[in-house]
Amino acid sequence: MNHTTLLQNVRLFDPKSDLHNQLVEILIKDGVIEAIGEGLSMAASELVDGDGAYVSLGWFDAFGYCPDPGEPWKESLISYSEAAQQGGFTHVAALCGSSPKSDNESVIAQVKQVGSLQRAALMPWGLASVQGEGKEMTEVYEMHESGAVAFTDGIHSSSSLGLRTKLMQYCASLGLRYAHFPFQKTLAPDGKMHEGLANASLGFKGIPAVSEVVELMSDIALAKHLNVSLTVLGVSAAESVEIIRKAKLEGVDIVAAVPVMNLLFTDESLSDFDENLKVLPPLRSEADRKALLLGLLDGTLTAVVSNHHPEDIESKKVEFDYAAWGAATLGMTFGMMCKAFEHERPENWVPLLYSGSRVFMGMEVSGLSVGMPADLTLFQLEGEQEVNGQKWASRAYNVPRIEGVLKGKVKGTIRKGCYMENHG
Amino acid sequence: MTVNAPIKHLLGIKGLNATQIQTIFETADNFKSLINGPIKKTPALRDVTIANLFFENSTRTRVSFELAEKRLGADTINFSSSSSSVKKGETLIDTVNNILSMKVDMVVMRHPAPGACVFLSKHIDAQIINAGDGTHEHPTQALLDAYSIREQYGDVAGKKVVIVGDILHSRVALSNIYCLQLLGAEVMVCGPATLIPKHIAALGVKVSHNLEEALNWCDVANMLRIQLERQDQRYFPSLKEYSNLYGLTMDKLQRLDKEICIMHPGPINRGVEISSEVADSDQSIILQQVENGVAVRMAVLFLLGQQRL
Repeated sequence: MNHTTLLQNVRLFDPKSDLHNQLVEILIKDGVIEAIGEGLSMAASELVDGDGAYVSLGWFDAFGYCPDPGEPWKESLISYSEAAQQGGFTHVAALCGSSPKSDNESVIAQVKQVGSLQRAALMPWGLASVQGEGKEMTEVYEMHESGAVAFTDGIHSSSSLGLRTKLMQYCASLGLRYAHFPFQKTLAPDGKMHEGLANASLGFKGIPAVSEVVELMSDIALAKHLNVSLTVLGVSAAESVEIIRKAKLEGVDIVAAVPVMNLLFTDESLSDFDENLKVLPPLRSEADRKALLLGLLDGTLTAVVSNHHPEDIESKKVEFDYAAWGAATLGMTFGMMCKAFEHERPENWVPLLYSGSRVFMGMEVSGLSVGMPADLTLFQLEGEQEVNGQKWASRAYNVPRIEGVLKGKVKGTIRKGCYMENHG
Repeated sequence: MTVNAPIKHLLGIKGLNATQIQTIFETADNFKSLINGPIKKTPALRDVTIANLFFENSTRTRVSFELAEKRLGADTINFSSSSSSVKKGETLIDTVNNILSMKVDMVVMRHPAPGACVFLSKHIDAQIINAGDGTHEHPTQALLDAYSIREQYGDVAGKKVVIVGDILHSRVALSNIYCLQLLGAEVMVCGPATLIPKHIAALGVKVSHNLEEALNWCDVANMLRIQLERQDQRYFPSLKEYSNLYGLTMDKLQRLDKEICIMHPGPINRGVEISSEVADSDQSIILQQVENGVAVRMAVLFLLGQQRL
């Protein structure tokens, strides 16, 4: 087919490369990087002027939720992928389907087939238990064969320790990835937000950090007992960061991901009863937020996930108590990270977007070099984007309202060599 | 000197300052004189229509508001969840907007969800008075409680008030804490640890799990009802054991070397959090609280209606 694209005037972002932070040209031929350097001008089918924007390996979001099949008006597989592309992601992994759920190979195969054709490749998570009810193990290997990249029951997991043990053991023996959201619901009956000063002053029942900590500690004990690695999805408490740090020092193989909302917002943000900030894991204290940032910077924590959870207006524009959980974050994950890490060198945190999430999923991470598939993200660190008033690709109503502007802007993505420019 | 714009709603005590509370009290003094005189009504809110929207059961608060509204000459309509469209799946915003389209000026709302009044204030134009939103706030109860303490002692400042019982499920406790602290009182909460929010001390209140210790410390004991209807699990073994530990009896009162004032926001569970003997004693000002409720609510309605708060 011989489709060639010449990417000009871009600044390479790869701290491991000698060309890091240098203006380069990138020649892409049939979806593969053919050359990186200067003076590559030749007759390309497509010329793209990067306007000096950074270019990195394509970003990957390791976890979000898509209610399609079932409730495509909240978010379809297509709009999920479009929202991801708008957010700078070339690949996303999501737990899909509200009815039917992703607990069987036919749903996984459907999501994989539709997802692979979209602007950002959408890869399916599979449910680890039937209907996600935490009672009976699903056919994880069959689903893996159909395209599931990892398994979890999500934040609403109620799996018993016994089932969790079997899942960790069984998945590890087959080389599959099983991730657990550490949340012991019985310690937070009717909890609506982090247990702290804010919940005491707003009258809500709290979700104490210990409801996360006890589950994390038991998962670590199980991983040690079974001698398997541990994948932790949705760390939100400072104490959890410390526990993971210590466990790693003891030699436990742990990867852990943090939802992006927990890097920017705290429980104080809920003082106005903003239902779009009603998320799980809950927004915790400023001390927790800072500990998460530090944990990501020192390598204790592995990845940031969007934890995108789209909802419609009927589910969200109601009293806080009755509002559905979740926030639609895919489009602004990068902007929120720019804000959260605004005092850090980009080399310390931008790799989380393309490397950390792949490491979290057990995928191979390579540098931006010749011979690699041309899945790339073009972004600016200094650009700005209005949040309220932005036209989001997501169908979701529950995009967090953030006053003013967020720094950072996604210029576009390249997937399989095709350039998709973001406008606005 | 900065002159603040008048507030539109009464969503909670949190939105008030001490000066505004004193204004409410002084206005309530006048209304209390009025309702104890031969002519109990004033046309101050004539031509104002007030909707009392109660999405949760209430007797005394609803009756108290309705009486206050009628004594101010307002037109009132009453709406309760048992007769509402809510059970047919209508949203709160739609329900309220339907009522407002009948030219209603003010909304008095009780709702089981914390923050429901704040939520409503973002989406409708009418003035809103919070008559209790879940376990969040019940500002007029706090105002009438503080007003009753002021009436009893002349001033709230410097008084020691203990709130006893189910703090976790109470809306009265939080509003009382904010209100009493604004007026210079010291506040303690007392009850089993399972019924006290873990971080409540950060609000500047003392915490005790020993009723006798709390009674020895205080000038005023405000006894709360156990809100069994809000409890999704057991927080103590039995009402009998709770009553033994935290129920206020004449025996416990007589062991004190001072006389304290006893309050209760009602409804009373006699024999559980308070014995009949105590509830009916001279130290109890429970019925004065009810009487003051009408005057304080008249003051709030009048001041908001006239945009003077």
